[in-house]
Amino acid sequence: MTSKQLFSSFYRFKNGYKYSNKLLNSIILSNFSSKSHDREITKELSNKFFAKPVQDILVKLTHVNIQKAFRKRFIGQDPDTPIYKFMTTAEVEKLQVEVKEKAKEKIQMPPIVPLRTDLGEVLEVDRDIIGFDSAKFVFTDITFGISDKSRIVVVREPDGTLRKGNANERHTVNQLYFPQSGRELKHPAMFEDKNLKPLLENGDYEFILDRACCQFEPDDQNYHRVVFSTYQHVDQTQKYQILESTRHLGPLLFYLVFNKRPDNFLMYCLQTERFDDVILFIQLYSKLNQGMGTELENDQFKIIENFIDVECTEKERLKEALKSYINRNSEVEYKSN
Amino acid sequence: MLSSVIKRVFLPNSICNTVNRPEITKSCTRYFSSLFISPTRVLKFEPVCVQQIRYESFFKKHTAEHIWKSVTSVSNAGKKRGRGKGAGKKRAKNLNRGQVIGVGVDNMIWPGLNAPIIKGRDLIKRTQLPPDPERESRLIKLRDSLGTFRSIRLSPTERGWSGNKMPGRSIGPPHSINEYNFDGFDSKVLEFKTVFCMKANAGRYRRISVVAVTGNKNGLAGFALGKAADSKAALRRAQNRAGQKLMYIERYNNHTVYHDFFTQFCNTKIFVEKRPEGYGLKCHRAIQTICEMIGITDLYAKVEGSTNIQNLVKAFFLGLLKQKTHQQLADETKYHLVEFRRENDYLPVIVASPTGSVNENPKEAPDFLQYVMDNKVRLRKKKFPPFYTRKTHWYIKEKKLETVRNIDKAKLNLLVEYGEIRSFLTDKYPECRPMQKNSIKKEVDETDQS
Repeated sequence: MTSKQLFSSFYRFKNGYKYSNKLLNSIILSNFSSKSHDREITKELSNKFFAKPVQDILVKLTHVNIQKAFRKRFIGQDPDTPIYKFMTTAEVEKLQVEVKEKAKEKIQMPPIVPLRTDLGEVLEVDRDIIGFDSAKFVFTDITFGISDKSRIVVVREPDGTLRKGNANERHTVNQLYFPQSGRELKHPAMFEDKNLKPLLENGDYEFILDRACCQFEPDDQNYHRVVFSTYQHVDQTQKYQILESTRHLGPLLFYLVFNKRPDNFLMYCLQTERFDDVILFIQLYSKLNQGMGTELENDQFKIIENFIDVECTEKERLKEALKSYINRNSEVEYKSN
Repeated sequence: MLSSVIKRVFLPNSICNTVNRPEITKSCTRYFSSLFISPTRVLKFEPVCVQQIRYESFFKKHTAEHIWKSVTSVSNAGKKRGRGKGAGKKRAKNLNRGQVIGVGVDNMIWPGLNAPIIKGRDLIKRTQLPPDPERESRLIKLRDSLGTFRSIRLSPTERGWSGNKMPGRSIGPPHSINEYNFDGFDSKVLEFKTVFCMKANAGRYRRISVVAVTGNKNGLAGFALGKAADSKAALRRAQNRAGQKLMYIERYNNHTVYHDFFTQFCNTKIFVEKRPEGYGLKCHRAIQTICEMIGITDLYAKVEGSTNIQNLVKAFFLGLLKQKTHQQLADETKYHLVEFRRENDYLPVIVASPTGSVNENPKEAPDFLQYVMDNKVRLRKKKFPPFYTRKTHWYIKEKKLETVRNIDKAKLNLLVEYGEIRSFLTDKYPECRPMQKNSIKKEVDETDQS
C-alpha cells in the first residue's frame, strides 16, 4: 500500500442524531423495486452478448444509417459556421470509407454485464476501535491511471468494520476525485421510478438511455433498473423505430431475446415489411437460447411458422400477420410478373 | 440761476405740488435757506399720490398675431443654426379659447346674453352671483395645455436607428405600378439629409435627399436615392425608385450569404462572413437594415475605411451580387465542394460536383476561403485584456468575488435538492435556516390575518 501512494481521503457521511441514515444517493436505492421478472444476467450471458456472431446480427438489426448516426444532437452546443473544402473524387471516396468506420464507432452498443458482486464486502473487523468516531471514514487511492472500476474504495465504520464501498460510495468518490462530464454527483431525479414513468410515456427513450449510460456504470443496479424498464416500455409500445440506428437497439433486442419476449418485435417486423429482420431475430434467438452452433433450415416461412408455434405466446395473431404478409408479397410478385 | 437750482432740488416733490407753485416761487428763497438751516422743515410737505396715465399701450398698438410672432419667431441667422426646433420651441397660444361671451370675472347673469330672458312665467332679472374662484385657474390650465411642443412618440417597433429620426424607419411598400402590387414588400430609409445647390434664379436651393432600400424579405431587394424639396415627396420618390430597381440575391438556406466575401466601393471596404442559423446580424446598422429587407438573418460584416452610407450600400449590394453559388464554385475549380459541420460531427457532405470532368490532382485544389475572398485577408487584431485588470483594485474585487461567485449555482442546486435555500447546519439544527426569499412577506401576511 505504501508503494501505491495512498491518499487517505475521508469525508463524514452525515451521521447526526436526527438524520442518521441520510446518504447522498439514498433516495433511488430506497425506491428500487425488483418487480420485473427478468432473467438474471450472468457472466455467461454477458459473454454471449460480446460474441462476434451475436454482435454481427445485432449490428445488422440496428440498420446503421450514416445520416442518423451523425445527426445533430441537442447537447447545448451552438451551431458553428460550416467548413468547406475543394476535393478530388479519390479524396471524397476515402473520406466516405472513414465515415462508415466512424459511424460504426458511434453506434457502439452499451454493454450488458452482470451486477458488481464485491460491493460492501467486509475485509476486517477491528473490535479495539469501536466508537473511535461518530462518522464513517472513506479511504481511496487516487493514483493516476487507475480505472474507476478497479479503484480501491474502502470504508471504516464506527463499529470498527472495514469494508469495501457500496455502489453509492464508489460513485461519489469517483465523481469527486475524477469527475466525468455529464455525470452528476447526485443521481438526477429523473431516474426515480415515479419521474421515469412520465418520461417513458413521452417517448424520450433515447434521452433516458443516453443519460443512464452517462450517469451509471453498466454493472450498477440502477443502470439495470432504468435501462431494462425502458426496454420493456419500448417493447410494449412497439416504438422500435425511435431507437433504430442508435446504440440502444442492439441491447434492447438482446434483452428481449434472453427474456424470451419475441412476440411484439416479430409483429412489428411483419407489419412494417422487415422480413430479413424476422429471420435475423430468429437466428439470434436460437443462438442465445439453444446454443451458438445452431443452424436454421432453408425454407424461411417454415422457420418462422415453427418459431411462432414453439416460442411465441400470441400464436394466432402472429400467424395471421405472417399470412397477410405473404399474401401482400405474393400479390406484388404477381403484379410485377 | 438760483431759481434753476431750486427747481432741480425741488423737482421730485414739485410734481405733487402744482397747485401751490406760485407760492413756492414767491417764497423760494426762504425755502432754500430753510433747507440748509433746518432740514426738518422740508419734511413738512404732505405727499399727494398721482397716477401716470397713458392712453396708448404696446398691447393696443399691435395685433395679437404680431405680438405672438415677436415671441415665437427665430431670426434668420438663428434658423440657419438650427434654433427654434424641437422640445424648447415656443408656440403661440390662443387666449380666446375657453372664453365665452357674457361670462367674465364678475359672475353676472345677463338675460338674453348668457341666460334665457323668460324662465317659465318669470322674467329673469340681471343679477350678480357670488364670484367663481375656479374660473381663473381653469383658464390658466387650459392655456398651459396648449402651445407646448411635444414630439410624436413612436412605438419601439416603429422606431428607426435613433430616436425619431428617419434612418432605419419603415416606410411601407413601394406604390403599385402598372397594376403590379408590391405584395410582401417593405422599405426602410437608410439616409435622410438636407442637401443644397446653387441655382441661377433661386440661389441656395434646399432639397431633402433620401436613400431607401426595399425588399420582400425573400431574396428580392433594391435601393435608390430620391431627392425632393419636401421630405414626404423625397421619401416617396426613393421608395418607388427602389421598387423599380429590384435584384435577386442568392442566399444560402434562406438565412445567410453563400460564402465569406470581400467587397469595396470607393474607400468603403466590407468583409462579410457567413454565419450559422441563430447568429443574428452583427454588422453596421445600414447593412443590418439591408439584410432585413433581403431576408438574410445571420451574418457578420466588418466595415473598414469610410462608412459613407451611399458607398456602403453600393459596396454591399455589389458584393452580394458577385457571390458564387456552390455549383458555380465547383464548376470553376473542377473539384467537388464538400461541406463539414461541427454539429454533425464533421460528416462530409458533397454540396456541389463539377458538371464536367473532375480534376484529380489534390495538390492543385485551392483553399476555399482564399478562393472566395480573392486572397484578401481581414486583419484580426489581437485582443488584449483591459488595462484595469492589472490594477490593484481589480485584484481586490476579484478576491472579494471569489467567495460569492458560485452562490447562484449553489442556491439553484439547493432548491433542486431540498426545495429551499438552507445551510449546511440545517440538518443538525433545523432552526438554522437562512432568510428565505418570500419569508418576510409571508410573515407580514400572517400577522395581518391574525
